[in-house]
Amino acid sequence: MRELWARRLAAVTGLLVLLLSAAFAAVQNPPLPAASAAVSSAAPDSADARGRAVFDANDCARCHSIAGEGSPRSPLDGVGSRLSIEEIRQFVIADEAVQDDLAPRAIAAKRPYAELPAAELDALVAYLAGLK
Amino acid sequence: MAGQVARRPFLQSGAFWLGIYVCLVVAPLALLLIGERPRAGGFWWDFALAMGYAGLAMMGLQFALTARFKRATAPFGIDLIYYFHRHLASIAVALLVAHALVLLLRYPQALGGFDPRRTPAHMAAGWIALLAFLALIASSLMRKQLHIEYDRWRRLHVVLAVLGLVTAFVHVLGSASYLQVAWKHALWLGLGAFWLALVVFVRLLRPLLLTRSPWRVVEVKPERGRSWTVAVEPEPGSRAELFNYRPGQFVWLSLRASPFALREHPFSIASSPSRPGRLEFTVKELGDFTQTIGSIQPGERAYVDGPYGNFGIDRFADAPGFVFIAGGVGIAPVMGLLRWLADAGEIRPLWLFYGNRDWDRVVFREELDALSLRLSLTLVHVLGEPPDEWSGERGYMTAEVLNRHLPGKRDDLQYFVCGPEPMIRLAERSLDSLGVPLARLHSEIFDLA
Repeated sequence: MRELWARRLAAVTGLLVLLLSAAFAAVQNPPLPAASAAVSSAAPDSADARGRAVFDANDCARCHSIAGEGSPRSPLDGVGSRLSIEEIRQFVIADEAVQDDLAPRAIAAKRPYAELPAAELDALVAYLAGLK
Repeated sequence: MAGQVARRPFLQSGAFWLGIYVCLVVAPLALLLIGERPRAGGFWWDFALAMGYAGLAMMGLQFALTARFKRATAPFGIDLIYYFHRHLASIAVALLVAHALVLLLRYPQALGGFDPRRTPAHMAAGWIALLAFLALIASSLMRKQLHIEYDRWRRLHVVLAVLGLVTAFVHVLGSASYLQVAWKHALWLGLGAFWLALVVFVRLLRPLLLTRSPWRVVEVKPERGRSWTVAVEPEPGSRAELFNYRPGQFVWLSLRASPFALREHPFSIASSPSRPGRLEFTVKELGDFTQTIGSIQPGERAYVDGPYGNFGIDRFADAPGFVFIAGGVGIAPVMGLLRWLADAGEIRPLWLFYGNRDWDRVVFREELDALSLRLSLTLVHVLGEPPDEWSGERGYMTAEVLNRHLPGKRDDLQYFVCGPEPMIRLAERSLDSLGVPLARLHSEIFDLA
């Protein structure tokens, strides 16, 4: 019976922790006042397809999401409307000009992208610039 | 002589320490909401992350639960501490599995693939941590089915726990967007370092201190029922001479092994502190280690870590009497308590229900008869396979057996049950059906793992 008591108490503790975790998530995600439309990407043309292929090949979805796919940590929907093409390129390769706006881990992760072949990098940037 | 110990309301202090536990799990999580926060990722994303943080905090706390801190474990018996350890660990791992599953099912691209060549280090660490914790749970809950020998299991347990903890923290510190802020990063780094330091203290520092307090075996005496009495004394001049304990407590005893070797085993002290200078243990040939007890020679080195446990009578100066229920070698701590009570000239009424398979196996038979002359002790032997001419109680520790010998007013006595788990369960159910409140029941469980 002492074990039963311990088991019940542990279950209550577990439930409490679960509820508090859910509360944490709720606090972080308050309900939005108006429905924010998910940006739907236009039907991709071949240039977009090349850019998207570079995006997939480099596992960018590990940190970024587009149209709800990928890590919601850093969504890229509408980035083409927020940043200029040059700024997009700077962020992709963690150029010195924008390093202050990037977490150290992100800078480290983006370092290899500076080594991408120019054609691939251009395609990727063009694809991202098209996300408006 | 134990003086008056202040009464600690069981539930109050128990609730206090549980509250501390929940705070310790939830606080690191709550702190992440203070100050700069990462962008919200959607309810399920953040819920999964929160479960990850909480699950890891719970796993870290497991080290504290089993670090043998006397003050924190004192409101509970050692049995409850180990039940909590087991159940909370299972819940923590369930949270970590949920963390991985939610992310895997809803955000597969964010996880990347399983290809170890392309996976970043912190993600690989996360999978290793999860596997290590699952192996930890499986090997612990199914130790006997998997035929893992006890000593090996203990070493495996520590290795898997530390591996899981370290890789989990590598994962968290490498991937967590909530830790972008320097102080939050430092908090979790500090938390991980704290748990690791705890392991170092328990597994390296404390054994080191023990090697400075050696004991030596002075007697190995065969008893009935394939049992032995092993007596140890402190080496002259060693700090072990300062060892002090209360009747009913237990220690971790290392024989033929250094304290680092994780070959220690818990044994209740059967002797009484009223006769200092020597500790006696009653060991039954039951398992991997105890089969070898008969070969221990006087003069051999021993190490004693303790004392631990609060299975004893000194918190109950006001109790009108005590009832002891022992099964087989569970008599050991009860002998310590009875010897102490006899030396102290105790006049309150005592009952001992002592269960054994047959009359020949009853350890301490003669001494119990002698003690029942010095104390107002009602001695009730319960035999599973009694001889034909047996007129005493037979079978198991059922409510009928207890009812026949307990006084009419029985709910204000304090009850102490010690023995294998099935016996304890039966005794608890029996006492419950006789109207004994749970708070008056104190159990010391043998054969935990």
